[in-house]
Amino acid sequence: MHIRKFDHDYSRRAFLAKAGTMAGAGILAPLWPTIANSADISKVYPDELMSIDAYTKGKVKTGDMITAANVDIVKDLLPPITYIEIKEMGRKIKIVPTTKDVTRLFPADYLEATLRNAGKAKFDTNNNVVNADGKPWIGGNPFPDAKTALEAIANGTLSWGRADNAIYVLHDTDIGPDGKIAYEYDLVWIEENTTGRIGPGGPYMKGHEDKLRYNTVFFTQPTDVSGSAFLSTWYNDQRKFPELLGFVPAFKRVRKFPTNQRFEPMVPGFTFYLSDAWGNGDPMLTWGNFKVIERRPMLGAQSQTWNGDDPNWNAPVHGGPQNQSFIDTNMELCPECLVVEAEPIGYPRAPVGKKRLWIDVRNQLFIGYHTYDRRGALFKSFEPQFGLYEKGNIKDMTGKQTTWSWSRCLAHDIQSNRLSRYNQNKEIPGGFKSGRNVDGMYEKFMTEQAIGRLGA
Amino acid sequence: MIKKILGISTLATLGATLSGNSLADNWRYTGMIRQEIAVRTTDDGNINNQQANPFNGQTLANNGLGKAVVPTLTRPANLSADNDFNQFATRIELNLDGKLSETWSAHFKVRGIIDEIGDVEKNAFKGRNTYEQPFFSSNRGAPFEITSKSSMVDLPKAYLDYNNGPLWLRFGNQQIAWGEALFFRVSDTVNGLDLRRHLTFGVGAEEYSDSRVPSLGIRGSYRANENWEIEAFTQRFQPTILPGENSPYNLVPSQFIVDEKTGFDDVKNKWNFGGRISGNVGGYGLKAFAVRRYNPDGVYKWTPSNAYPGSINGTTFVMGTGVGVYSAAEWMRYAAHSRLNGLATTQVNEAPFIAATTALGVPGLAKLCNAPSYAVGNVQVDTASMNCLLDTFFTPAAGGGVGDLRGTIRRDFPHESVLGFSINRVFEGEPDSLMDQLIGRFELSYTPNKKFTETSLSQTYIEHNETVFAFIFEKYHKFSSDFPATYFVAQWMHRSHSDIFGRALERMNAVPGYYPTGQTGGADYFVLAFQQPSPTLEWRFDASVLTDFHGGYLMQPGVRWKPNKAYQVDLYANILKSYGAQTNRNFVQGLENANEVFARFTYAF
Repeated sequence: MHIRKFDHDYSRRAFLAKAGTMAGAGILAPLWPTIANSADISKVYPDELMSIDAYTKGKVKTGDMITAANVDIVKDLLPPITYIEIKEMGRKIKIVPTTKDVTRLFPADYLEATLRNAGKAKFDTNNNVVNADGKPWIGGNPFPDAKTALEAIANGTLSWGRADNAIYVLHDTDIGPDGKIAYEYDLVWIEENTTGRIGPGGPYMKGHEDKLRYNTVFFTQPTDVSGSAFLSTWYNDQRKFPELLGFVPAFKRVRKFPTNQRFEPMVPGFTFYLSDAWGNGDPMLTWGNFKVIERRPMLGAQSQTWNGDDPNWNAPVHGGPQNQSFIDTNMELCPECLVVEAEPIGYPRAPVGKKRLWIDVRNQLFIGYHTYDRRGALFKSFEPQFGLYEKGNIKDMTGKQTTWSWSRCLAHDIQSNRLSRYNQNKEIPGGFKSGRNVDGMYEKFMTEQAIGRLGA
Repeated sequence: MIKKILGISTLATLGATLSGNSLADNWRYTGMIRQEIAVRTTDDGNINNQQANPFNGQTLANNGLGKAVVPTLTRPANLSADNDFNQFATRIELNLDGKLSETWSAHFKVRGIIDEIGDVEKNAFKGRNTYEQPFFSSNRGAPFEITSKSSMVDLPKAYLDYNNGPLWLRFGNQQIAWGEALFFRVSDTVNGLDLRRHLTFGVGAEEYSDSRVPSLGIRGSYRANENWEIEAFTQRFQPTILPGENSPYNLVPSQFIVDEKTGFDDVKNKWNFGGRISGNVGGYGLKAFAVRRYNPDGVYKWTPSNAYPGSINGTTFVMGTGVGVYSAAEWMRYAAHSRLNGLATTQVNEAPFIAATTALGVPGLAKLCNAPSYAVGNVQVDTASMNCLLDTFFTPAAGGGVGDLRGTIRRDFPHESVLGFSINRVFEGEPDSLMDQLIGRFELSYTPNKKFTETSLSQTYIEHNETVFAFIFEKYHKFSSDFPATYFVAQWMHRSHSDIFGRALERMNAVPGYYPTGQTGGADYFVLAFQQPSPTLEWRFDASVLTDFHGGYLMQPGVRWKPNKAYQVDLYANILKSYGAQTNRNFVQGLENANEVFARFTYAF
């Protein structure tokens, strides 16, 4: 039933009223107490924030395709680069229903940890996140109802993949300005949290309590980069740069590398920088001037994003000059997003002047990410797609729970008009398979010995 | 078809059989085809080769006792040939990597090269031997290769990996690269080099990845805890492999006949051993290592020529080849060029050769040439008497001599121990400051009683306790927000008793007709290099300068262009200059023939 008193401008006025306050998420009711009680957000937001039909007064309906013809109707729901992609480059986005059951927006155990540990996180004197006892964070979103930009960015930084560990095997396709495929890579991205763990064994990996995570990236194809492997060791102290070890095939041995150059492609053609990872690819305190810009609804890829019926989870593509620039995308109306900005104060000559993140308050994940150059002009977009790994009767399982993960990402340098499509695959040649919470990952992938071996 | 020829399909099938899984799941192929071309940018030829011998066609006064009959000596002019290209080769590489189980994986690389220099430079290099070496049967330089004079196929990588928790073992043909420095080989002591392809003049940023010669062995490491790891290896001895005689980058004057086989046979079934411990303490990376090895670079000495046609039995000379030394002047010039003592008489005075040379009448001839000493076993010469003595032999039979002579030497591979350590640290500093993420490294190796080739090619080698160390500083610095950071590396290497190629410093400052005066205080080298990629990394601009403190440099500017996933073009120049006194006192003099522009055109798949 549509409650008439919540007219079309009600939510806009409500968001404006929250501006500059420390109000939490939710319009009709506080979001997180409601989630804790029922996981159902139906009573938290008015219909117009949970239905594109209501939001657009029927001009766009759930199931419709957003194209150049109708994108202006939802322009205010899209990050600027996404709008340009649709308006000018032939991108299309399908609208799917808004997810009201918040359990479908998290890995189950991560949501449990978030609820279990709610209220225990605080910032220490250095602005690092600690548990109530002053020790490193113990898992889940430390600030489930983030009210400041730093809280929101801490949520995204402390756990990237919302699992104790994850191995993502992915195929990258880099599109040149002419719309043709310029470069392609197969790579493996592995992350393992050493604190804030939510599985058996407690929140800390023994002997690694001073660290936040290990992150290994290695390339398997093509031949000129095959065997390149890099291991980042992140510290809990978010003022410190990670340590970086790399195996470069030309050197045939593992060497230390500096890690402050995080605004550069790793290989030719990449439009993704390390700094872009999960919207929070750098230690968060190497950034500053955190600001909440506003709260507002947005369109984001939070459900129905997994192509499980493809043998290797590949997604169809469309658009662009050669009809292969964009991954087919489903987006839903996300009722409330926190729009935050931060500046790279620790990187004096970074090409980036600031980043803006659109963070869905339901799961505190970014659904949009833009960087701006030092003149303030739009630079890059990094757009993820998240969701449960289920499609029809097909499911992928992580332990006993349906897998929740990212499925695709699109990085777009709007200034050079180069794009990179990243598709999380089931497997890539060489025997590497995607997975989460896999035993033995540290020894296999996260040591100096391991990257020397991987770099064979 | 290519894959079948090179055995890839067999390997893949084997892998699939072993793993019980389909190829697509657990194996991956990568590969590339590359054309490699180097064009000489200097008039200097490689004087180690017959075709660029500066004495070809020169008529010189005969200083020998037969000069009345044969007043001049002339090296044939028709041996000369010029070349524009130093390199013209097609390379194919195929990689096959597979997962056999959760603990086992397999890795193979097949490298095939066809050297077309003999077709492109028919006069200079037609029929020349670039790749064949006599270490293994069928003239193979390494056990896992098939070789002809102008082509080779080898397996630089053929091993199985076992990993279980903190334990890692690698079985098979493999390279082992240690060390902090790039290009400077301080701790990188495990493998020798295969110098047959582009010597050490390839892209500097690729270091020795293509030339470090692999060997059959077992390497393993165990992570004791989060901070410490121990590693050990054993590898079958494999010598450094030199380019073939008269090939473009030949290093040994072709008037020598090098017996590579005898010394190698003595140690071919020997194994090298080594261990290393690595750790992190307070932000410092530490490593200490010990290697017990047969020096793969080897040392040289005179050897009896008896096995060769034209041998003057019991001596170190072969006559009648037409491609030997024709005059004392040539002898002296090449002795100095090789950093050897042209006045040495060890080939007469040392035990293996006394009887034969005495029978030939050398002491008597020395007396006639007014040598300071002409006693049997103690023939001593000065420049004039040596010129006389040599030219007496080089005089054709009509004048009482034997004509041109080739000298026979052999390479031995002494057993030695190398000990060393290294330390590294990533410094922290204010953003954008010099210290910000500056990486400092230091490494040192010590080889007690290391043997070096003697200036006289004596049977007794020079021995020193050799210390080599290097300081390395690396930094990425961002000059502009529009470009990726520029990578800089600065390195200084000091060697206590040898030059960068491992030659004893006693051999330096070698001037024709004089004893080498040698160098004291060690040898020092400095490298400064940078890389600047374009914003998309499509382009990368490189420049590096290796400077010898004794007056010489190798500069290598270049650019890499990778426009898409399949193609890559590399264009580089090698600029070598020996400056100051040309007394064979630095590593550059004698290598100027490698002043060149080289290009590589790669198609990757």
